[in-house]
Amino acid sequence: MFYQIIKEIYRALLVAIIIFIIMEIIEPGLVISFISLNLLLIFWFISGIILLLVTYK
Amino acid sequence: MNFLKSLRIVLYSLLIITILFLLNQVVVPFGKISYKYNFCKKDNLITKLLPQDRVKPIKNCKQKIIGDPVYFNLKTFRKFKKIKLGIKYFSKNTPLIQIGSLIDGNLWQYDLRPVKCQLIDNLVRSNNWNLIKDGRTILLQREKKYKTINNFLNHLPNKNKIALLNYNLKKDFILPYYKSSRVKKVLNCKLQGRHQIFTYVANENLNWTFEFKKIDYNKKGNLIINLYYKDELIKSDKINNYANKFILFVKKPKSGFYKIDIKCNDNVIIKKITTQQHLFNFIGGIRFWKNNKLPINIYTNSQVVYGQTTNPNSLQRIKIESIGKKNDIIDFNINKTYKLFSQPTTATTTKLLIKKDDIIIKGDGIFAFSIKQLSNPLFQKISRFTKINNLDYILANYKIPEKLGNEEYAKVEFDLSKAYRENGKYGFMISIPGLRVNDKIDDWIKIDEINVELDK
Repeated sequence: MFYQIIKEIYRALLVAIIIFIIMEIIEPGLVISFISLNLLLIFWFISGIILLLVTYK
Repeated sequence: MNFLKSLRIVLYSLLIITILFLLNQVVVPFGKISYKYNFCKKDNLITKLLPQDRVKPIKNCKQKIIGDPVYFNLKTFRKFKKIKLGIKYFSKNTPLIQIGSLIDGNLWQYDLRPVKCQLIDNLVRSNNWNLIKDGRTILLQREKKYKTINNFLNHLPNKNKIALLNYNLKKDFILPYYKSSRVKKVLNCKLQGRHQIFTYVANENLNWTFEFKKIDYNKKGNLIINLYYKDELIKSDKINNYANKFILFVKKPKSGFYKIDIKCNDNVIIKKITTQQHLFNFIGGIRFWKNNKLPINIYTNSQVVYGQTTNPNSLQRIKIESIGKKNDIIDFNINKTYKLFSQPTTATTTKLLIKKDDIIIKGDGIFAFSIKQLSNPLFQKISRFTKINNLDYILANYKIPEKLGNEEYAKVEFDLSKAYRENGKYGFMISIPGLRVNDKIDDWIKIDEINVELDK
């Protein structure tokens, strides 16, 4: 169950990051003026590591 | 499985809401959008107040301004037509506060609106003068003579008894004793940068010849000469070839005052001006370039004169002589480069004796090379030096700030279709005339909040 939850979060964050990066390329400053992409990347990275650890176990 | 489905719905709903919020910033489907900057944390849309040496560090989510002017930018993701800018502030010993919107990015020209005018605030709050209100327009009369603002505008009293604030009062100024002349006047003074000239024309051609040169031909910048009649642009010419003389000619235009605006940066020198008009004066100041015939005598009706130079060899004491008052001479000392010095004048007309050129002389009135040319079509504008004793009427487009406890809140509106926008940013300025860093006067303004309402 925990694995599934992390997987969902990881996927949602990945989709969000891709969309936000595309939006940022189209309209520079639009996303970073309101959302910290760095923080989003860190959360995505952490969720990815947790996902790897859970899969490994 | 149900839980996972719900989690997925929540996560993707959050993402969709965020995307819709971001798209709203670009599309603005409802036509309006607003932002608020309260100095508590960094804002990516409203930049911090700059330059740093004119503001104190942010304390308790408020920022003190100690020098004039300060600037900030507003980032938007599309163009807007209108902006309502509100500021919540607390001020000490600041008679006039204005906010400006950048309208010319090359010449750093701002369209100013008053936020606070202590002179008007005191008159309104004390009920000493009669007040007539019509929307944002207010008319203050020492004694009640006019019942409506329209009545006042249709039967204007003596021009010298009226002061304006943020009001464009258009009136025909006809000089009945003016006689045109066929003799051409030559102004051999070399002037630097942008200058605005008022000239009077009656039953004659408007005929001006300008000779220009560039200091550095590699530097970019436009040279545009605009001709205005009653604030309406009637002729505009862009000059590309600096080697040729430029002739500004209009055949027998309507009688009245015309404004010639020589729009250029400081890289352009006006070498010589030849004109058929024998009544002309410079609006707001003159910047003298090097190698002029010295000394230079100029006359002004400014209530305060400013002086500045970037050349150490041009540091000097300018003699300001009051016309009509014997032995009333002030020594205006300009003893530091780059610093803007100011000196209030003591008479309605003063003569300035300038011993060294490469200097900027500015003021809130007009400047002329002969006292006979000091014919001013402009109404007096309210400044921090305005003396109430000489006035009977104040006409203003101004709203008295709201009192919010110790603080005050004022809102000003700008037309953004005329504003300068670069890299998605609009430029603004907070101007507090007379506010200087390190002048040992306890004057400042503390900004609590900046509110922005944008209209598509």
